[in-house]
Amino acid sequence: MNEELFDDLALDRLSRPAHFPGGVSRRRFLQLAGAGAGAVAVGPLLSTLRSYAAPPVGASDGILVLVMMEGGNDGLNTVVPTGESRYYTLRPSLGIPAATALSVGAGVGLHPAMPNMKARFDRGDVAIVQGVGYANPDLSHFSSMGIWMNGWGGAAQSGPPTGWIGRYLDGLPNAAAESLYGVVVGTSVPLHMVGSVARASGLPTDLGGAFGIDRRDPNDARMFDALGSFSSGATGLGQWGDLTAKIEHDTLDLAQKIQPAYQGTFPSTNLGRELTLVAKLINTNLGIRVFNTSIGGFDTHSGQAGNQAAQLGELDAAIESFFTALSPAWQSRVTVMTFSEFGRRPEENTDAGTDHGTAAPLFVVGPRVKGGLYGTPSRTTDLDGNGNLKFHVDFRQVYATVLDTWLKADSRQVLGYNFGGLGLFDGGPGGGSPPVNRPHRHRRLRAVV
Amino acid sequence: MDLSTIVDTILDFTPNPPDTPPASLVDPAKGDWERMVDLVKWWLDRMRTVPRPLQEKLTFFWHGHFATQVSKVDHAVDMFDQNHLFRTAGAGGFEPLVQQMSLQVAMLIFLDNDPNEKGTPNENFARELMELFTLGVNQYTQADIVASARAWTGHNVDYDATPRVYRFYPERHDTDPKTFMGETKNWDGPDIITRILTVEPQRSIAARYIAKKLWTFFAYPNPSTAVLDTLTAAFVGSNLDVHTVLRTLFLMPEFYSSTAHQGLVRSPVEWIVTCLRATGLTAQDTNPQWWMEDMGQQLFEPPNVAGWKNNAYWLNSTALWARADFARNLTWKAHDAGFLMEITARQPAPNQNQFAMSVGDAVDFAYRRFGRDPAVAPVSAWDRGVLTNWLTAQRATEGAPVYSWHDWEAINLATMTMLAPDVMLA
Repeated sequence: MNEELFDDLALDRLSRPAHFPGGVSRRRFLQLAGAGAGAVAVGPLLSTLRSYAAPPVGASDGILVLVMMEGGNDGLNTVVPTGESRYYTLRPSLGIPAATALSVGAGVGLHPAMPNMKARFDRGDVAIVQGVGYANPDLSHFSSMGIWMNGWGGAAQSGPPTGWIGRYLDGLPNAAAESLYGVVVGTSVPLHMVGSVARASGLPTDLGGAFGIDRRDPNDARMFDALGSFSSGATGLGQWGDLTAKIEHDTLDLAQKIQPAYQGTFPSTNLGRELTLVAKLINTNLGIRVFNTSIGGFDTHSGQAGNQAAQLGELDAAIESFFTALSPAWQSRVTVMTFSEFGRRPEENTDAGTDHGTAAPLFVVGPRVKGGLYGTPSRTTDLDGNGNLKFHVDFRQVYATVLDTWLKADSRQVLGYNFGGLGLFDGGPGGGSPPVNRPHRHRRLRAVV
Repeated sequence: MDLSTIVDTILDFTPNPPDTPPASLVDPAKGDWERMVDLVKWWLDRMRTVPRPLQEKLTFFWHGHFATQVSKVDHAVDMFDQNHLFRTAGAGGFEPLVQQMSLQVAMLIFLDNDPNEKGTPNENFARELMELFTLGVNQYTQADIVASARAWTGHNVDYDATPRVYRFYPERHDTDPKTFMGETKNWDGPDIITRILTVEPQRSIAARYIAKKLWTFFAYPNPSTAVLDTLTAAFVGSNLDVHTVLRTLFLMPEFYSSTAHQGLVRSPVEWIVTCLRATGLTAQDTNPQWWMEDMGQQLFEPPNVAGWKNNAYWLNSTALWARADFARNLTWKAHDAGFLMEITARQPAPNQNQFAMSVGDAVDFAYRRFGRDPAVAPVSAWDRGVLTNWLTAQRATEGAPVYSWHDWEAINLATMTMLAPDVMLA
């Protein structure tokens, strides 16, 4: 999303400013939004951020790994309603036959490119939440992804200019300084990972001989130290000059910490590499609580059959290699969740694709997940006035469940509303403890200022 | 020379040579991947060398605005055709630019208008034409998108032609009445653009949307209402003439404010070109494309149809590592040609054990090579102090200058200047 778009989106959200806890001025909002939704970060609030670090993850703390499926994944061909004849009528060429779908219940089957997910589902480690969406759906990639990332439920189309994970991270101890609470594998920090004081760090998929790692030559070490000290005083170059200096310092510092996680072998696909790296970073216990990974290619306006199969296959294999690389000591403390900005139209277009739609299913995966089908499927026989699928589970209800049960946060603080839970877990993180219903003290949301 | 003469000069692109593309683009022995690599390097080197670089910067702006990805378009030659349009028509009328852009193979394929046919409209292009290219979100209805998609039916690609070309197929075009922005008639695709960009209030909405984006690209994000009013008035008053709005923009006092001086972090492309110009190296020889993806900006491959973001988008550890690694590679190549070795020069006998330049002079010498002359405009006093302190310590480790190998001073100062906040900002 570029800045223009985000400004427009931001103005939308500001239409009911009374709902901001503590209030936020339009000017301040735009200042914050200035970087664009994919990468919101602002100087003054970050000035206290000292170094890339976070306290270790405890034995009963949960780690969340997000997989962002970019482009709007077609839900109907991911979790296929094999029992609905209307589905096959609407999709004469793209419909997935019941015989090839991987059955996960009566009249429901997974896309055949997801055999590992099916096996995990059969073991009871996958929650499939069906019919997930929100009221008055927006069919723009950018607006809809912005709504999912923002995740605010305090009032329709209104909320703080932060992301739901960012607001969760804001509530962790010393959030402003602990920039390793949240990590994005990739080159930009998306909105959902940005809080009012917390901001996720971006880590590369491949470290190579990254600048700052090898300090054996005293000349190099002297140079690294000097570059790192640009941020020890005010540059006098404004917020971007100061932030440039700060990120240079923090990057040099970080190189020393993460280097071990990049050793060993990795799968060849992008997402496979990202998720395996995440597993190794978890094994290294750098204190990271939430990871964001992403896979693109789901905007299947044409040639959907092959394209979606390839992307879902990559996702399926990547999640499998993630759990393979994850040390047994961490298995019970990690949950993976997928999301996408929207599903697609019920009917196929004549380009063997599907156009932007609405509700879709998502996956919550992990050993502590209580496997099964959740929510209510969006029926092809019950469409809205625009011929799109109706939603039955607000996406923020999924967030609320993850926040309350898995991350032990108070979802009402983070989401601005009590969405209730879906009971997706059969235990809290770590040992065999029952679901934890003990929200930690969440620092009062200060909106932005 | 007064300011308006200077602005007119930089806006006069006639001294720039024609944009003859790299030979590989039409060499049947080359694959598309090889052609793309050549095209990226060719463009970077053109940015680096043309006498009026604003033409390239504007081409780069339109590339981010009418974003298409070669990974979907697939053919380098189609990406070049679009690039050529942005270069040659990018400073003219906005409406003809949008009209021509819409009927090029790159955009037809990237936003799926290529298979858009009667009875089965594909909305991808129709949506982004309004949401991203002209009006901004929420300036239209879903019904307008549906009508526009139908109007664009039949504007497809002829794959039987070599090279493949845009072609209008009347039998695929939906000639039934469609209601677009309240008017019902047999709309055709180009009519939609004409309607948006020549009729009020949409014309003014588009003018403001594009003016804001131009200001954000050249000056800083979130311009004041007053700035936008001035730009929009100039744009509307010239019937959306890009040259006119740019001339207005470069003459505004706000463009020379400290806010503008400190308003933007150089994007990877801008920073790479700065470093190449400073060192005298070419993209052809240094392969910046190897690092550009991690920096967050690969030419001809914007992240999505909305193009690139700015500022904080470039400031994360992944992107910084990529910049630093590229800077290091550039440094070694530059050092082979003696870059910054002037700072290690000695005084004449009998003071041959003394450096000719003080540490302050040496650091300023490096800044000047990167277009930051402390005598013209102050650099960050703090950062300059960091560099002079470092150079003092570095010199101290190497003993008597006449006997030691002092290349480390020139080598590491080159890298450090590339990464200094003064050079990282636009």
